[in-house]
Amino acid sequence: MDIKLYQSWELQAGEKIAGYDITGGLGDLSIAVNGQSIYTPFPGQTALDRQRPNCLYLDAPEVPAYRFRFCGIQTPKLGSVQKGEAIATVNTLQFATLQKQANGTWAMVEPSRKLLEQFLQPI
Amino acid sequence: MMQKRLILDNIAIDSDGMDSDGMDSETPRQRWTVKHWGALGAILITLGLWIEMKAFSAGRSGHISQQCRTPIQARQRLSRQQFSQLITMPEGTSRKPVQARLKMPYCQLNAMTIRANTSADRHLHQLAPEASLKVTPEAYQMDGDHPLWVVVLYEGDRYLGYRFIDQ
Repeated sequence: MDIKLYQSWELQAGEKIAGYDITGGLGDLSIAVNGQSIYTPFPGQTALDRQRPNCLYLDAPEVPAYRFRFCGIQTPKLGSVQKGEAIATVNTLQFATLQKQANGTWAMVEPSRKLLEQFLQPI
Repeated sequence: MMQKRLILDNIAIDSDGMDSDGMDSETPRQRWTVKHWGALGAILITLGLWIEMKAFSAGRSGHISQQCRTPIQARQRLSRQQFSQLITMPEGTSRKPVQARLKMPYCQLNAMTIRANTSADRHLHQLAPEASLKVTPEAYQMDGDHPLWVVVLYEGDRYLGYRFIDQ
């Protein structure tokens, strides 16, 4: 999956600086999940970012206009996922909530605690 | 089913036999043989599988309409015209005109807080069969006049977007 972000910071996650990878940028929330699983609280579809294969996107028909990005993941479950299913494991999660804009780009917005908790715990 | 009933009858006979203080009942006492254990095992396994199947499907989402938080508000389905208007409305547009075009939803799903401190309302609409024919092949996965459902999301006074539900 390829998406265009609304915000274009000078320094973006996925780029390099002084030879080092930028693993999280403005708009990502970093969480020490330490190898545990992350879950989807709704049925949906997952796909890897074409340029950043350790980033997983989750789309859910029950949640229009939003998409969720999980970077730093391992062992992703790709394709259709069911409510409550584990979708990946991760050490340090870089999480972003993305909102669809009228111009086709996706804007990083402030995630709600309530929803993020659901991604981090089984049902 | 017949077999199960016979086995249960046998068990009943067995306990009857034992209760009657050694007096011989008309049917001979049934001993609990390997055959009985096997049959009981088969029943338990079947029961276990059935329970697990129920639990599994309960864990999966049922039909989206089961998530209605309000009683059904309108049985009118979105017409082809309304549907065409919906797909041209840009995300972020004002809510009132969108709701005016779509009219009452089938029901409302529970609100969600996706973005911090922002409540998102979700309206469930049903598409009329002639409207669902206009849906792109990728979205329309089933044949026939299978009605499509649409979730429409609003935040505050803005319309944010829609998605099809293909169940």
